[in-house]
Amino acid sequence: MMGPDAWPTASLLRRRSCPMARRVLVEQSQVVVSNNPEEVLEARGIASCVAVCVHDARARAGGIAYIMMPSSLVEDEGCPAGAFADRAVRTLMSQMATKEASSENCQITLVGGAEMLGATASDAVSGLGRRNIQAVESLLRTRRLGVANRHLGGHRARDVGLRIADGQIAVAER
Amino acid sequence: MRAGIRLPVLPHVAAAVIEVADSPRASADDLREAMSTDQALVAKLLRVVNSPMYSPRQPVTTVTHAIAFLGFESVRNLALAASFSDVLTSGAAGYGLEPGQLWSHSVAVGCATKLLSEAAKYPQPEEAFLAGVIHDVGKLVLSVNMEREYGGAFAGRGSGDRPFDEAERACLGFCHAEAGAAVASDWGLPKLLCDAIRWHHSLDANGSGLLTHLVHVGDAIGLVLGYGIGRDGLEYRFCRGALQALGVGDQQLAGLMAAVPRAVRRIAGSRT
Repeated sequence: MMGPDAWPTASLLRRRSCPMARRVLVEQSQVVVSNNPEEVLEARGIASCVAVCVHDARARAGGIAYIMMPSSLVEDEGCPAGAFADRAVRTLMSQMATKEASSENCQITLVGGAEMLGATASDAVSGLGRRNIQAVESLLRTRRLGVANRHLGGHRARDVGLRIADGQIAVAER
Repeated sequence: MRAGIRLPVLPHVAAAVIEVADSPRASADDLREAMSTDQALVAKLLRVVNSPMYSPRQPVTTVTHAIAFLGFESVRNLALAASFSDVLTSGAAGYGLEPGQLWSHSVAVGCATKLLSEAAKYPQPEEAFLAGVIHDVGKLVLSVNMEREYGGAFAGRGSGDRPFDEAERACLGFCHAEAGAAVASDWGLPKLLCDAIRWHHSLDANGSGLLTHLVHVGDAIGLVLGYGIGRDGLEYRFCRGALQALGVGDQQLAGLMAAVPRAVRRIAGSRT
């Protein structure tokens, strides 16, 4: 059984210069941004969803958007900002701006987009991962935001941790 | 198939609720009486009834009120689903699931299946919720009884493109869906529910009923959204015909998938 130390953030939390680091859990459809160097943001069980992880080393700020679906075609006022890729990316970048981060300095890592066996992009359920990847990459291109690292696709769920102090990322497949 | 397998014990209150369900003369009072010995169960039931899946105008605070709000059969099915929470909350280490993760997956699939059932105009949405909640009970059986065999049989099998249930069958002679159906039958659950558990990964293998289609799609939604994913990951095949059989379009599907996290948070608490 996986204990708490088996999660990828465990290594990030052990940083000597940051002994008081604490985990902040980011759940599906949430956008969380921080400039607290003692925090490690963590998104767990990312399957077909895509976690967009952003960090600006100069501003020492970072954030994660845990995106569930490609676009906000669905009229649902109650849906959190991070549920859909278009709203989530917009919210993530505007919240990063409030922490004095700039687009030019942002390092972006994408995690998730797994799919079921034999999935096709036309399939709203089994192909959700592929659709999410396409939507997120397209949105980032439009904003001229480059992606530094990708942990995408496959058939396994992933966990990701982002250390605010220095932007270190840890990814583990389940 | 069941030789050497120790079946989980049916929760006492669940047995009492099933007894009420089996009696044609059972009344709302009988159901309330059956649940009266377990206030934690009553609290769980009320959490479901007050969740965004129902959004009552006034908070529902008693079993009697819940029955008046939803009806006897609906509350009976919800009570049964809630009564399995303790069983399903334990870990399933053989599947790489920490305590709470199987319950998280069960609730997510229950919510998704229930929301789908409404879109598909299935007459008993709470029956769909119950089926979704207990669909993976077989993982508990196989995890508890065969953890070592799993480690050995599945070690190094790679990601491959063979569905996990087929790998289970090849290694063990049966899969978690079959084990789950055996448990459900042993517990005295209706055949319709046992069939939905048995065939939720194998829609093409029989002329599956609507409830099985609902659980198949609900399970896929729980998986792709990342609820309670273990070492089997997303290694299952999705039957596209299921959505056609249910008559649920992409737009409807997107709307109900977006609603799942809120319902899960209210019922199961924070995701693990």
